[in-house]
Amino acid sequence: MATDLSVPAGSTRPPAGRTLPPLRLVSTRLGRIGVALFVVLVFAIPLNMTSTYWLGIMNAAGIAAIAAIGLNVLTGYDGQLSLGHAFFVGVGAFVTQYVGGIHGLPMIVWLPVAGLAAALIGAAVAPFALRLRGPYLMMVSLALVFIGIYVARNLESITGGNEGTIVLARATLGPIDFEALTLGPLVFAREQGLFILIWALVGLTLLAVANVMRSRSGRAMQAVRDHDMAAEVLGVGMMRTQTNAFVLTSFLAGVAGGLLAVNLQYIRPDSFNVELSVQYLAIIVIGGLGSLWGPVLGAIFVTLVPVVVDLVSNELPFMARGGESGLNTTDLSLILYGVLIVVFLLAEPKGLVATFGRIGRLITSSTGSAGRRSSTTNRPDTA
Amino acid sequence: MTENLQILVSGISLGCLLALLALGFVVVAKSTGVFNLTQGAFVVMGAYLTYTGHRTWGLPFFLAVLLSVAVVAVVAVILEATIVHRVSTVNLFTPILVTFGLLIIIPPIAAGIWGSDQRSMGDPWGLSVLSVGGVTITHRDLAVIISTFVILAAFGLFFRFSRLGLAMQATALDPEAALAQGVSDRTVHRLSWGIAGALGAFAGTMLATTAGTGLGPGLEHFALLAIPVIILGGLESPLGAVLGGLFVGIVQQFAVVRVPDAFGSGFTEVVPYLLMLVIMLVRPEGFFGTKKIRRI
Repeated sequence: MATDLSVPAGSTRPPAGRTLPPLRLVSTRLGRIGVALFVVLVFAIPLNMTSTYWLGIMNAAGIAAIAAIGLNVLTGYDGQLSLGHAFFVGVGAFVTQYVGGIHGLPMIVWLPVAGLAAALIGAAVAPFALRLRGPYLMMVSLALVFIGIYVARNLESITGGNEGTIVLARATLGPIDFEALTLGPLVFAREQGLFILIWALVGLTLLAVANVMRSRSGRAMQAVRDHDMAAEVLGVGMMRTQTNAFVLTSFLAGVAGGLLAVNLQYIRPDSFNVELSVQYLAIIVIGGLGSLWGPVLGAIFVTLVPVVVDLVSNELPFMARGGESGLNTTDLSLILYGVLIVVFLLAEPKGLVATFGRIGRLITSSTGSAGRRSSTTNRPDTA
Repeated sequence: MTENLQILVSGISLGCLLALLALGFVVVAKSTGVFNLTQGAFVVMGAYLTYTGHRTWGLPFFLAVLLSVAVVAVVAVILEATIVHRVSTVNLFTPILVTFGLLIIIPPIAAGIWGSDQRSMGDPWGLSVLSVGGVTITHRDLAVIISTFVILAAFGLFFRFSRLGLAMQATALDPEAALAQGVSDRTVHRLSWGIAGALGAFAGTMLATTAGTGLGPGLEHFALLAIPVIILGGLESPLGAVLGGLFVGIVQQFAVVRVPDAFGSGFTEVVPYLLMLVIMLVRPEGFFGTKKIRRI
């Protein structure tokens, strides 16, 4: 995906450079401050958080965020609905076990290979999947999930068949082992090391996607989403654009799958099912379709749903307890995903990002000199 | 030869079931343009409600079916009126996502109410069979096949000759022109959801009386089997749904018996999806779908 970043960088067509905003990784001062803050937090949070339970949850959220950022490229920016994301995450996970576990290669090899393998399959599937618009990609991608589980169950030497397999791949980068990080006399817990790795990759992914979306191919994706025919008239190749989006999406799913495998240390074919795809879709809808930070907010939010359900389930009267009929926590989480999807689409179609933006504006306008009046004038364009 | 005929008959029965599942999607897509994933939830609701009516309250089977069909149809209309109608024309994929949200809410609720054990619908038809020249057809299969064809005929007549049916077609073709002609899009949308709910409930009941399937969690996954059928038949053609269903059903049934074990476990379950991929390659608009010609 690095090529997508550099190709339209103005060097090929100097005259067009004036109309395009300068392509730099981070274009504004605020953005640079944001990046610096992110880097600080990536190290500060795990060092100051001692609860491995909550760090584990944050790690799961980070991995979900990478996968969701990927799905957001296809669904949010390119306007194509996919229920097959779990398939590509699964490809990444099992390729990681094959390359990093069975062949014992280091992370610098297995992580890109996991992404590339998923991207290759994505590129192979894209021409069929993208032949029609509308709900058809969703249906074909659904087929991918079922076929993927069937193939994985029958590739026992790699996937362990129905029982699944222990993941032997290690998160090591040269001499640094993220799973047993040491710094002088300090020894870190596994969760702390993985937190640094996972959230650093979340940051890199965000930076990459933000820049792809400012490039020609990224803008082409959004043009196709907004009006495919108008985009085509303007010289945007539909098939090529959508294939780009599909491949980038699959690549990120593969990377997320690799991290998922290493984080969980145990994977089985059945876990990469439709429900997992549902979860990623819920993340981007709740977080905010077509926004940069939406998938990250959504991932944290959605990962917290089962955690909160676990915490409060003992208080709820309608839960199953000791043989009585009632809801179990997985079911309650699913119901909440569904309710959240419906509520957000009806009440806040732009997702959590819009909610946060509104809260931010309310704070700035009530503390700023404009006072109350500007907050009421702001309302029409935010609603 | 007889064996092949036997497989063919069970294939036709399975195909009719798939067609019933697919018809619910087609009705809504045809008249409202929404790809309604909640259909899977109607299937689950219908099956469990029939179970409650028949087994818990002891109603006669056909009364229980009627009751569950009516209840699910009402629920479907309410969902359309309160939730889906607001977004049904926003864009292509908001309504899909909303119906998807509704789809994942309902099966867990059913699991909460009825528990996660396998339930048995009993034997509404008993084990009675009909023998024709060495081929045996169970009465259940016969009921599925006959009711599918009755429903299909009713559909054809309804869409072709009734005022509402024509109004539904008109709304699908050109919502604004239909409005200008005095067709209420609200009525049409609600009616189509009601029909879809009724079809889903009926298909769910039939699905739950199948020997292997039964009534339990995961029933909504069987409803997803309608998706390959829809691809084959075209999203907007009732006849296509039935023929697509028959095709998939027959091929799958032959695969169950004839495919060697070397293909690995679970191969027959992915047969419909493989068929779908092949069709996408050869004829993406399906056998009976119309190629979309768009004007700017």
